[in-house]
Amino acid sequence: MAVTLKPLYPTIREAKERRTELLRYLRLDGGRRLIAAALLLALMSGLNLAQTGRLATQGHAVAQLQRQQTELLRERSNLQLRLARAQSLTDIERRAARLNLRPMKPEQARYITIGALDDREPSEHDHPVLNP
Amino acid sequence: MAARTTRSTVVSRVPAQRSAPEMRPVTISRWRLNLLLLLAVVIIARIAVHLGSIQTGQVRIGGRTLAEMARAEVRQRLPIPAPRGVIRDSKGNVLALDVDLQSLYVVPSLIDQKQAPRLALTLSSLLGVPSPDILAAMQNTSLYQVRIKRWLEPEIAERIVALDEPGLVLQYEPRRVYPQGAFAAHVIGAVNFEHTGISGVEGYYDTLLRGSTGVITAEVDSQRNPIWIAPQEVSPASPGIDLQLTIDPTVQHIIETELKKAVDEHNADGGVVIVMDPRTGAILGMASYPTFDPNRYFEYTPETYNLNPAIGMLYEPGSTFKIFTVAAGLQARAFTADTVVDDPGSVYRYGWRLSNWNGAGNGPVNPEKMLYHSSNVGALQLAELIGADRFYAMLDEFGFGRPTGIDMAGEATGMVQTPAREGWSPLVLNTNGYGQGIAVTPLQLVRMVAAIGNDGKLMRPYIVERRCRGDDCVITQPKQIGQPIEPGVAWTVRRMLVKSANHYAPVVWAGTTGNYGDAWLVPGYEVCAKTGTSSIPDGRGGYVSDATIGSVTGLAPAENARFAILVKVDRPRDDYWAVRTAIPLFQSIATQLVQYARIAPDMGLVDPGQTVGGRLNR
Repeated sequence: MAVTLKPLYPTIREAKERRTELLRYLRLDGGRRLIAAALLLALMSGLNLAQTGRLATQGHAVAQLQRQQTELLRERSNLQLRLARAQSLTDIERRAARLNLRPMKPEQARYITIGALDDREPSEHDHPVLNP
Repeated sequence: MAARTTRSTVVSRVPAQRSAPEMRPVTISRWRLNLLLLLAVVIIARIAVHLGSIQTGQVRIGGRTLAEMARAEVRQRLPIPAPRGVIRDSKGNVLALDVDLQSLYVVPSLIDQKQAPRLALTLSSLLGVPSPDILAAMQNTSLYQVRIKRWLEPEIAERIVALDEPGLVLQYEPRRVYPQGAFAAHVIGAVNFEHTGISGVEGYYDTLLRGSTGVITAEVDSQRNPIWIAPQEVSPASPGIDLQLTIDPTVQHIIETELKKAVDEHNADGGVVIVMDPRTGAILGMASYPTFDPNRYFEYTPETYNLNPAIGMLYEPGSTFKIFTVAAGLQARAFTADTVVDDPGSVYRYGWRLSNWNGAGNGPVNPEKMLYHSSNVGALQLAELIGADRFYAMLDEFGFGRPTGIDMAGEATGMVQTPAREGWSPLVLNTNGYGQGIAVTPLQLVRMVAAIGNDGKLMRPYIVERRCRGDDCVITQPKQIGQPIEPGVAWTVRRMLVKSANHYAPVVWAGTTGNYGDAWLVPGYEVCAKTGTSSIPDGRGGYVSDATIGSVTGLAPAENARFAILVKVDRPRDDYWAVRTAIPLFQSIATQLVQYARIAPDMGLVDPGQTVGGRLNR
C-alpha cells in the first residue's frame, strides 16, 4: 500500500492562516452552525436561569416582607387589644381606686356662670355658687 | 439425533437416556415464535405507551389526569382571609376586633413519653387545662396532632415557646376579641366559632363586617406558601367595614353600673336601661342585666346571648303607657288638659271591676292629675273619650305593634290588639288605656317618650353612627319617620310629666330633707318621669300574683331634652312597686347624665336640704 507523506508544517501553517482570516474562520458551515446554535441555546438558558434566579430571590424577599407584614399586623392588633383593655372604664376605675382617687361628692361641686361680661348686666351668679 | 432443518427450529434438546426410548426434539414452529415475538412487542409497546402516558400525565385516576392532579398539587387556589371589621364606641374605643392568637397543639409522636407527665403538669399550670386531659392527648399516638387549647394569651404563648419542647406546636388562628368583656355585650352581640355574627350588631351587620374572602392562584411550596416564579392570579380580599356605634362609653358605664346595683339591691331577676338622644334617635346607652361576656358566650344559655331584652323582650308597659293615653287624647282633641273625669277608685266595665293600683279614689282628675296619681280609672275613661278608632290609629302613629327598625338583630314586633283582630273587645281599650293588654318592647316605649321630648317628632332609633371602609365613611343621618303629636301637645305632656316626676322625689330625698311632699327629683333640673308597675301575664289569661316589673320612663332635662331614659327592673323581690325599685335607679342615672352632659343646673330648682348632683347612696 502506498503511503503519501505530507509535511506537517504546511498543514499547521495553513490552519494558522485560516485562523488569522477572521471572516473565514467565523464562517458558519456545518458543525459550526450547530455549535453556534448550542451556544445560543446555552446563552438563552443561562439568561432564563439568571432571570428565574433573580425572580426567585425577589420572590423570596417579597415572601419575607409579607411574613414581616403579617407579624407587624399581628403585633398591631395585639397592641390595639391592650390599648382597648386599658381604655375600659371599669379598668380605669379600678386603677383610680388603687391610686386612692375617689369620686367627687356632690357637696364638693362649685357651679360658676361664665359669660361675656360686656353683653349683660352683672348678676349674683358672677361669683361661684355653692351647692346648697 | 439430528436437528431438523426444514420448517421447524430446534428449541431444546432432551438428552437421550440410555434406558429411555429415543425422544424427538421439542420444536416450535417459526410462525409461533413470530407470534410470541409479536405478542411481546405489543406488550412492550403497550407498556411503553402507558409509561409515556404516565410521563406526560395523561393517565386518569378518579376522573382526573395525572397532569391535572400534579397541576393541582403545585398550582393551588389559596383563600386570602378578609379581616372582620372593627367595632368602636362613639369615642373611638375598640369594642370588638379580630386578633390572631396562637393555639397549642401537641404532636404525640414527637413527645418523649417518659417526660410526658411532667410536661403535662407544666402545661396544666400555664393553660388551666386539667393535666390528665393534656397527658391523654400526648399519649394519643393514633392522631398526628391534637389540639390542647385554642387562642392563648400572647404572654402564655411566649412561655410555652420558652419551654422549647419538641412536639408542642403553636399555630395562629384568628379570633374575635371583645377587649372590654361584658361592656355593652347585648348591643355588640357575639360571633360564633365559624366567625359568623349571631346577635346584636355583629348579627345585623354580619355581611358587611365579614367582608369578602380573596383568592390567590399560584404555585406553592410544601408549606403552601406561594412561590413567586410562576405568574400569580390575585383576587384581593375585601376587608369588612368598621363600625362606629352611637354608644357613649360614659353613658353606657353609668347605666350598666347603676342597673347592676339596682338588680342586686332588689334581688331582681334582671333589668333593662335605655338612653336615647331624643333629637336624633341615636342610642347612647343600652344595658341589660344579667349580661354575658361575648368572649365566652358559649358558657351562657342561648337566651342570654341571643336575646337583647331591650329590643327583643315584650312586657306590658303598665302605667308608663298612660303618657300615651294623654298624648293621644290631646292630639286627637278628644279632651283637653282641663278635662276632668271622676275617679272613684274602681269602676265596672263589661262585667269586670277595674281598679286603681291601691283601690283608692282620687276624685275628679284632669289628665295631669291622672298621671300624677297614676289613676287607672282616670286613664281608662280618657281612653274611652278618645275612642277605639283614634286610640289605635295613634298607637300606629307612634309605631307600636311593629319593629322600630333599629339596626340590631333580634328586634321584636310587640303585640297590639286592634278592633280588627279577633278577640278584641271594648274592655281591651279600657285596659290598654293604662298599659295592660298590650305588649311593647322597652325600645318602643322609650322612643315614644323621646318623641314627646322632641316636640312630637318620631325618630328611627339607630345604633351605628358611621360605617367606614378605610377612610371612606358613611355617616348615618337621623331619620324622622313621623310626627304623631304636635309640638304644643308634646310641651303640655312634658309639663305634666315634670309634676309627675317631682311627685316621686320623696322616695329619694325624704331621708335627707325630711320632706315627704313634692320636691325636685333631680335638684337643679326639671326632668320628666312616669312610673309603671306592670303585671306579668301567667300565660293562662291572668297575671302572676307575686311578681311585677317596675319601670320608669322620662326625659332629662324636660326642655331641650338630651336624654330619653327608660329603666326597668324585672321581678324585684323586696318591693312590689316601681316607685321604690325603679325611681332611685332613674334618678341616679338622670343625675349623672345631666352632669356628664355639662348642663348647668338652675339653683332655683333646688329645694331646702337637697344637693345638686345628690342621689341615693346605694
